[in-house]
Amino acid sequence: MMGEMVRAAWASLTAHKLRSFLTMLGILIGVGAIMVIVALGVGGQAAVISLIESQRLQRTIQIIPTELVRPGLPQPGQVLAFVPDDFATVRQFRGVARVYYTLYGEANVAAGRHSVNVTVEAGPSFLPDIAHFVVTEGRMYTDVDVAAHRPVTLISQPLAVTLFGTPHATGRVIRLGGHPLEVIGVTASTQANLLTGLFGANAVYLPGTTCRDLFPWWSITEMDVEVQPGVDKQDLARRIVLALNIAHHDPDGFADSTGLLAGLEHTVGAVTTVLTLVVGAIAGIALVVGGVGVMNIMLVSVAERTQEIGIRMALGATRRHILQQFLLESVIVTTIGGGLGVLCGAAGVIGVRAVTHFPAAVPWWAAAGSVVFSAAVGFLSGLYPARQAARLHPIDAIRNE
Amino acid sequence: MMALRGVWKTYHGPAGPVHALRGIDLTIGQGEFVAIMGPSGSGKSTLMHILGCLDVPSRGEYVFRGRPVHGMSHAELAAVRNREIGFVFQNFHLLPRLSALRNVELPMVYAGVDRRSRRARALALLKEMGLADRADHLPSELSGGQRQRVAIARALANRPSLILADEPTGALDSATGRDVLQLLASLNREGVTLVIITHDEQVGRMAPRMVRLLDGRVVSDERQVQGG
Repeated sequence: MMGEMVRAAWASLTAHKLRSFLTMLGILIGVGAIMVIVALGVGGQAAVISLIESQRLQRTIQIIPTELVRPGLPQPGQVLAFVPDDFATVRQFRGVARVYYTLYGEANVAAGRHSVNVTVEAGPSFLPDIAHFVVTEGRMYTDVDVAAHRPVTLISQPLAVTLFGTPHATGRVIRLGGHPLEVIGVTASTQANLLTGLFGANAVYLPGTTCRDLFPWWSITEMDVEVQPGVDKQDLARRIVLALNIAHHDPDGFADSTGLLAGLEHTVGAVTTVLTLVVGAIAGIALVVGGVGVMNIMLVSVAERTQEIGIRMALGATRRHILQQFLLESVIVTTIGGGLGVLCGAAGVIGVRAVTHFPAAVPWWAAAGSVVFSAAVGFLSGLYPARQAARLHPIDAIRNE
Repeated sequence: MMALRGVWKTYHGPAGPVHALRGIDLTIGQGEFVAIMGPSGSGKSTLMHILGCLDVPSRGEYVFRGRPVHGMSHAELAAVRNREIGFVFQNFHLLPRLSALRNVELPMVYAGVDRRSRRARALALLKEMGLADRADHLPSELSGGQRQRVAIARALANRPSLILADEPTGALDSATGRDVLQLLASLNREGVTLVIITHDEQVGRMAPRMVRLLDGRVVSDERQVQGG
């Protein structure tokens, strides 16, 4: 019985392919939008959490000027910079293994006839704020390179393609701000920083010492402290920040970015939740509009098929049979629409991931929930038309020609 | 087998009540072959709807095989139509998107017959009607006579006790119409009660019993010597 009814519903849907597809479209778009939004929200939260986790796991403390993380754009003149004495001070703390600085800046890179502006990140042979630094070709610079101020560099894959037309650029030479550097490796980095990580950036990485030689006027705004095993990182960070703030006569001058991020976790979580809710509500409205479209088309379908309904009733179909048949049709339409919406949403998410490094992901519960919700939309919007169909009088229906 | 007593059917139109049937008394026995005749507007279609349990009397009683139809629920009426009555319509009323086979299966679907048995029964019926090779054709791919034979096969699907034919030859040429009538008559000889509604005298003359309607009343009910 059920199998026959599904076949009948399918047959009448395929009889009007374009109409069925257009009916599905509303649901498809609504569900697709929900998928992408949820994926971005979930991905964003996952990115923040993984960033915080990765920093917790490392034996590194990252200290930055507080101005950089205050709300609003940092005022360039007000951002404190580290001075050589700061490094000497911190080196004396018990539990500190090594102290480095990381430099950030922008500079012009040229090779052959090509020339572009890139972001420069220069520091120790480990890069504490990069979650997954993958060297795809060549090698990372070593402590020796850092100590010897060697003119070597790693460039990002997009940059290699821009400059040399190929991701294989090891052994080539680039000019950074006019100074030649040997490319010793290519990287497909996934920057954990949400903003800079969004796009596969043109980026250059080089030893901090080398960078300091090339751009002595760049101020140092990040101090990386490698901690000895078994030391209480948080306590040490607190004491270092206190000492630096005293030295700079600013009670709120520097901050432990790991600690700041932990606070950020709640903020970002709350923001993404609100965003997901708001945009999700808009997508929900789209689904309701889709449902109204389904109801409209089902009413048209009932009106068109009055005679069919009458014939089925004459042959022994009960009102319940007719009700079920039309409900089934609208549920099938919206469920397929929802399923296609999930697929389109997933395709969109894959697209986002291909273009950016944003870790968007469709959670299974969102996909399953959307399909179930689509089916519910189909049921609700099919209910009224199906009742109209079931209430037809068989002789009126047959007579309708 | 079927008994109508004092059956009235009244429709409420914009110009006041319209009485389609005005006190019909009629009894039809098991295995009979009855032609119900009358000009258009005589109420014969309304009578057919009531005999076929598609509608219920406004007043009076209709007892079908010992069960009072007046006062049945929609579901009970549907069950009677499904199990006891086979309809043959003037315009065949086959579902256009279903093959001949699946049209014949339809009453069995609503009777809850499992797929294998209903397929076998539908094929057997089509074979009886000489349409074994047309099982997978859509109605639009069949001739009028073939379509009506598919409709008859469908009417027989649940082994009904009554076949109700409403102008079964109305849309057919005379030779094909004769074949269809012969087919219906032969089913009657096998024991099915047959009621044909028609305004065609030639068709009416085939039946051993002819009931004439005019203005919602029975004006004559005569048994005649078996014709051609």
